[in-house]
Amino acid sequence: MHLALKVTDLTVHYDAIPVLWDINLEVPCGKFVGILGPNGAGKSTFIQALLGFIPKVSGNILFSGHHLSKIQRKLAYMPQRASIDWDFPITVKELVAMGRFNRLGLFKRAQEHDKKVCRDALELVELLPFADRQISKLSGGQQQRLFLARAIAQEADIYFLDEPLSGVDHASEDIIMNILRTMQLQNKTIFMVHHDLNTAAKFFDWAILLNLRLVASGPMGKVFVPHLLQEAYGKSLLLYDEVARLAEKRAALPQKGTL
Amino acid sequence: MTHLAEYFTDSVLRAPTIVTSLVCFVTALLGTFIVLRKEALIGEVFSHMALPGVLLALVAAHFLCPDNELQTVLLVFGGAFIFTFLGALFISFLKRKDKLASDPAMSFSLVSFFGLGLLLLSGLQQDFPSLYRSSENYLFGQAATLDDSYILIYSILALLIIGVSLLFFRPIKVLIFDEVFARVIGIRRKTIEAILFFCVVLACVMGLKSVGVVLIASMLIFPAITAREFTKSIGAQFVLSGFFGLISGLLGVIFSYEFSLRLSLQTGRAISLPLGPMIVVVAFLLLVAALVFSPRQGFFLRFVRRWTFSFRCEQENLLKAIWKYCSSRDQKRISKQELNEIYPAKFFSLFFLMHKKWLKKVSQNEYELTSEGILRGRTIVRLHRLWEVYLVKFCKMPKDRVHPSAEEMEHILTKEIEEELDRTLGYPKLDPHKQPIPEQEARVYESLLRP
Repeated sequence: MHLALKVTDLTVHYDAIPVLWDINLEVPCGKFVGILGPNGAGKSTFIQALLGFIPKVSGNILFSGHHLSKIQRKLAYMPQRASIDWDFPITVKELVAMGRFNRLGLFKRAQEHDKKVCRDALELVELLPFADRQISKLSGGQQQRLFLARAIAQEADIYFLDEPLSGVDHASEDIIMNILRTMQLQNKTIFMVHHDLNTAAKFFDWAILLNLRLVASGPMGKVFVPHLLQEAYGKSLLLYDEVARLAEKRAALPQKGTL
Repeated sequence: MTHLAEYFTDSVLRAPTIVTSLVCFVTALLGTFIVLRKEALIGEVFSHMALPGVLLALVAAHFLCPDNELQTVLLVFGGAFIFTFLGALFISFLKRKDKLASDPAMSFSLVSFFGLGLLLLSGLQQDFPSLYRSSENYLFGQAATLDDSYILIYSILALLIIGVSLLFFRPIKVLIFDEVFARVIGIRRKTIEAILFFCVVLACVMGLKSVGVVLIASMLIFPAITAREFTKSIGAQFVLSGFFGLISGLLGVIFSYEFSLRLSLQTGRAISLPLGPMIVVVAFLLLVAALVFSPRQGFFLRFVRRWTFSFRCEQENLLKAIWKYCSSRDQKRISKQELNEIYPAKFFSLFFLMHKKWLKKVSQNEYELTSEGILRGRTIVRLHRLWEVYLVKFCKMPKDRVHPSAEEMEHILTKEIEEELDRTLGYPKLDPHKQPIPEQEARVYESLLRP
């Protein structure tokens, strides 16, 4: 069985405060993976560390057996809605076309094939009629689908989605989930940060349960069990939070070495 | 009045005209990026940071090449460029190391460099009064002193900026819009930002001697905002911004020359209106015009839209009144007196209904509803009553409060919504006030066709 992701000894710090420690896990190809955990558990941080946005203190990360730099073009990332400037002068069509830039490089012009891929992606998320709109002229659900379309246009093997269902209407949620399931059938591996435990069991077939450290990782049936959920969402880790906050206050004072 | 072509052919006028237009054009192009990065202040910052560079270069030129003006200019360009670029590095250093936000980092650097410049300036004033005077040419621009040799220098610089910004347009765009995505697809943020800063610094340096390094900052902002009003895509904004910059520069030259000439003739004194401020004024007026007339959020269009809507409401209300009156009496005609009683209409409203062919005049004293008029009147009443049913049934509004909303919605609801409403409500026959809801057009036609 091929591994889509293999993480060994991953530790991530924000300044002096560890936000994820000592994470070891393996995920096979073609899984729909839910990244679950309470608020502040480091779910987004985990994805961002995997993709190299945040420097890691230690650890080794392999995607399909390769390092990030070798396989960057096969990875797609869909950001949280909030991080986008919706007033930016860009149309729906142009935004999806961005998905092709990883293949085209910086200077090559889009070919007929690229245009077709973009058109198909827009059609899939049911946004083709809005192709010429500026992006702020879409509803919240449509905006989320638009970014999904961009990720699809990347034709990646591994997808990382950061809460794609937050602030999304019911119709859009159905469309998005249907597309993701179809993608899974094409042997794509999908990682999705998700916070709603009620729907998690229905959506995913693999789960990564996080709370600053790895609580569990594995097939949904084995991970999504009461005692592990209790461990991830329970109060036992509140103490750590408290200490981390204290450490943060201390860090606001001059740090060692800068004095 | 000087002919437009003369600005490009006359041996005195052509250099200032061409150079100024070029400078405004390329600066405005870059302005799109700067404004979208929400760093509109950067032009102001860069231009102030150039001051010590300009002064040091002038002093150096005084000793190195005292009589060669071209070399002096190149030296000043170099000095300004080095200092501004150092300043840009300083800003990004502050942001990275001290975790300062963008604006305190920028204003801190501006003040430090400008303070240094002012110190040098006062020293210059005492020791080299002639240099002090010529420094003003650079800071506030003295386009009239430009001659043909400058056209080449400025063209090369302009081509460089245009070329670089076109070549890197795609990574710059992605980086400004979605930094994280840019990283995922392997765009190097630092490299691209350095390239962008290089271009902006170069553009600010070009402002030296032409528009004035202080006022060039306006060219980074005004045209880009003006262009934003008319576009929904960054590429279009880029081109249009350049166009508005070009226009501002060109009109600035023409106005400053023409007005100076006229004022001097009229007053008999030599009056010269400075070019830099004139360009800023033109750019500002263009922006105001764009804000008023733009399709995006222009006051003018919004006003027109509101006015046409209220106009239409008024006409449709009149038609509705006539239709109600006629249908309750099972007649098609209405006399002037009756009309005045039910709806004291203005002459113009009646004229409009006749123009729309909803009403026709059959005799001196009588009007008649056409079949289209009947249909339209019927639809308005139908929409009104359907909406009332909807509000009462689904929004649980009290019966006596639904009328005002329906009074407005009857002019807005479309045919599709009408059908949807009808279906959702289960084809009601009566409105909440027990008045009949007229049938839909199609069914009216059907009943007419039936024997």
